[in-house]
Amino acid sequence: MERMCIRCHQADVITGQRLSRERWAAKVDQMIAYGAQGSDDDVKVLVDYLAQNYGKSGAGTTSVETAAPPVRSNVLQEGRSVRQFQKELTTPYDVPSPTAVTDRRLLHAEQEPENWLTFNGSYRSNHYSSLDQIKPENIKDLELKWVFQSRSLDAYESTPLVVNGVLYTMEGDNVVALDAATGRLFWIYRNSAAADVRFCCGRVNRGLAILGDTIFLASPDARLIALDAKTGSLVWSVEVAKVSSGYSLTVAPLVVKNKVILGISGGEYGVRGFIAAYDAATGNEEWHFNTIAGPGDPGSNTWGGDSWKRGGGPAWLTGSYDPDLNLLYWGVGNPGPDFNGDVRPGDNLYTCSMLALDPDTGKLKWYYQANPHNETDWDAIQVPVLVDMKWEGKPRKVLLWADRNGFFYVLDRVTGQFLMAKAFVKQNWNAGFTKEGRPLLTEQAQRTKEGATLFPDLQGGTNWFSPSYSQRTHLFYVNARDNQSYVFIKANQEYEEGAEYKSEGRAPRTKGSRPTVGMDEDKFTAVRALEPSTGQVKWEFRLDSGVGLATYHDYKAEHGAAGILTTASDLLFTGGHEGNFVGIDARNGRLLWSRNLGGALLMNPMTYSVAGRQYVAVNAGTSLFVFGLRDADAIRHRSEAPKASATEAAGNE
Amino acid sequence: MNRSSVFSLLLGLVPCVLFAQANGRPSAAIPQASSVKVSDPVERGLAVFTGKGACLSCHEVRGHGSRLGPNLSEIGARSTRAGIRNSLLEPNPQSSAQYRLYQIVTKDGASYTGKLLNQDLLSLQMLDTKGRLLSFKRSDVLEKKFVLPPPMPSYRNKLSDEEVENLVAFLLSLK
Repeated sequence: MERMCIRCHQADVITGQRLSRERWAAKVDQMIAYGAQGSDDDVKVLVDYLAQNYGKSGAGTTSVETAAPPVRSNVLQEGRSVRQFQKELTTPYDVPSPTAVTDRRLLHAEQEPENWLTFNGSYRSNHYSSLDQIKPENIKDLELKWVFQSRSLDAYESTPLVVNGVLYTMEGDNVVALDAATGRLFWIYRNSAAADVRFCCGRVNRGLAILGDTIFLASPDARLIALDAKTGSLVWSVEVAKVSSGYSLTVAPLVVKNKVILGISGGEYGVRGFIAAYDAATGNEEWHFNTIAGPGDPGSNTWGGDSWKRGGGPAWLTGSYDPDLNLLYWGVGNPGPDFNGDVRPGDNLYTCSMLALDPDTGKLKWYYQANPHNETDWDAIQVPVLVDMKWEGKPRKVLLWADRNGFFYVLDRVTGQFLMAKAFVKQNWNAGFTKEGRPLLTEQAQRTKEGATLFPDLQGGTNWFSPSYSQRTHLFYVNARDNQSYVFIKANQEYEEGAEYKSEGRAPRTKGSRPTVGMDEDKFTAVRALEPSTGQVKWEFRLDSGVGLATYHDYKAEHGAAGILTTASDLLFTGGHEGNFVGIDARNGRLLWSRNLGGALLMNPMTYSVAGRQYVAVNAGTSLFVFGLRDADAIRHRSEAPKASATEAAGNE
Repeated sequence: MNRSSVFSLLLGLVPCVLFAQANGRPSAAIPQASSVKVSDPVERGLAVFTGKGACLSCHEVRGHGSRLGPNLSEIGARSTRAGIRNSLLEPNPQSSAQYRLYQIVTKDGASYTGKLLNQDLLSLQMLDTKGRLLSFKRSDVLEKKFVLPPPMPSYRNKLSDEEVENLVAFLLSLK
């Protein structure tokens, strides 16, 4: 007693009491929880001593204990073992928490479809989930489960992550952790990002990355920020580039092994683009790949004079990773200035290109340039989808890629070899390809003083919103924009650090206030299902997001649509800027379900499950909407344990 | 980084820079004098911090310890010698009230302890002692309460004067 109790208590506090053995045992346990030190044997000896000498019926004593009811409210005493409680308290969390997302989990993200661990859902970026509780037969029973209203007015383009029932998403610049089943808040990280960052196309963020118990945020003000996934507290923050030079960040980072990889934004501000990797533990830059070849780099002869210094080439959308080949695939955006290539003679490597990099070193392994010397703002940043399929009868590792220039590409992802390209929208700039895949240009692609009509338009045949590849249907789905632009007459512009640098000219306006975009009423956005081996459109589903609906969400309506998600139950979820969230039969394009959510759908729909119930999430306007089956229905359709998605190996015929 | 590496540091067996385990939570190093002397008050303070004081039970220092109490990673830059000493000997119940532990017992008998993050008419959210973000429906909860008293103990009479001074020296070194 002296050793365990008297350190903190006057003796008479103890000896003045008369308690039963049980109550003394409970009291000692309580004291242990408060910090008393002693072994199990010490505890036993102490309780024996107290019960014997200061017990309820102790010799020569009068019980002072009344017949009080059990202390029901004291869960500490009546719950479980207090020793267990104390053990929990002393469990340090530098041992990874049970929900820590290891790099191994990221490698096998498809085997835990209840979670959504990366921006693209998996390293293959197919935006396909093996969840199948929601299916064509019951999709009519989907109901709204919860809504998260962002207090930011910026466009909601952030794809959430879900890790073991916790959903991480953005509220403007901030990060929030929500209960994925109810939407209730666990924590919010208020990011005091600089307000004076310049963006070509809105202050947006595409999402987050996670490794271990750390969330990574590419902050708008060109900082990479690491947060404790459990509390939202800051772990570290590093500057990635100078905001004053026109740099910004909109990308969702990608974690590969122990590195956080991101691509920079600012292509309309005369920046020199790059992709870089940072140590997840410290934020130290591990490698830095300049997407604009400078003096000494291979490809530097593709830039006239010192135009490389402001050559653009942002890399503002998350790439993909093949762990077997150890290759990182990442698209690069347009050269700068956007619309006048005269000041940057040459092919302008590596703008408008798909790159394969060594994720350990950042070394370039191969590249394919879709649009050499581009003057139409056709960023080639679209999500590369990694598929193993049969190509001309033989198994092949390919990269499927629907580019903003309106072509669907199939590349050998081992070597970068050009295998095929086929237009998935109306186009008039391309007259074919060389054997190596270099595009041949039509006359319409040339600039004239009078301006010319260009298909697709400057926003592209598609844009940043995700495509999807279903491992069941073996189809590649893309939200395709059929539209035209009146391309500008070239303008001359002096470069000024940090200022917009596009050399944007003016074309004769036909109608409407936006000369860059065709306003013909038959222009529209559609989900198109492509056969990967031929590029043929198998079916099409027209969304209502035509340019005629531009009033719905200002310029965003010109961009077309949300991304696409497919599931193992052959459902396809997507939506448009008119606000309809739709469920389509992925096999034939038949509309099965639709809800108007009252705001433009921008983000990539994603799915996850909590406690055996599947949810589907999409933004509309500045809110996140989460749907699930009605309770009784969810129970009836509860899946067995999630199956590993092993169908990919079967290949594509 | 794990606790054992802290202890090995204590014994002067490892250099001052430690890194997270590959899959663990990233963390920076705990700063240490490059020449480890057993007589160094900072060194002995670290021993109290990780040992007898059991401070990591509630506090975090650069990825070590628990998220339940205030993070002490830079306490040396934010507080003074007198302030830290006072917090150890006469912890302010008002200021530590926000770190009171909360306990939830569900109807199926399971018990959870941790920091209450949020609550509404229908649900409660908690960060538990195992580092899990948990959400409870009120209808599933049998009992819930703050654990009293606030968890920060007074170290008066628990640590010797010298131990307190060494602990203060260690905490002041965290900048």
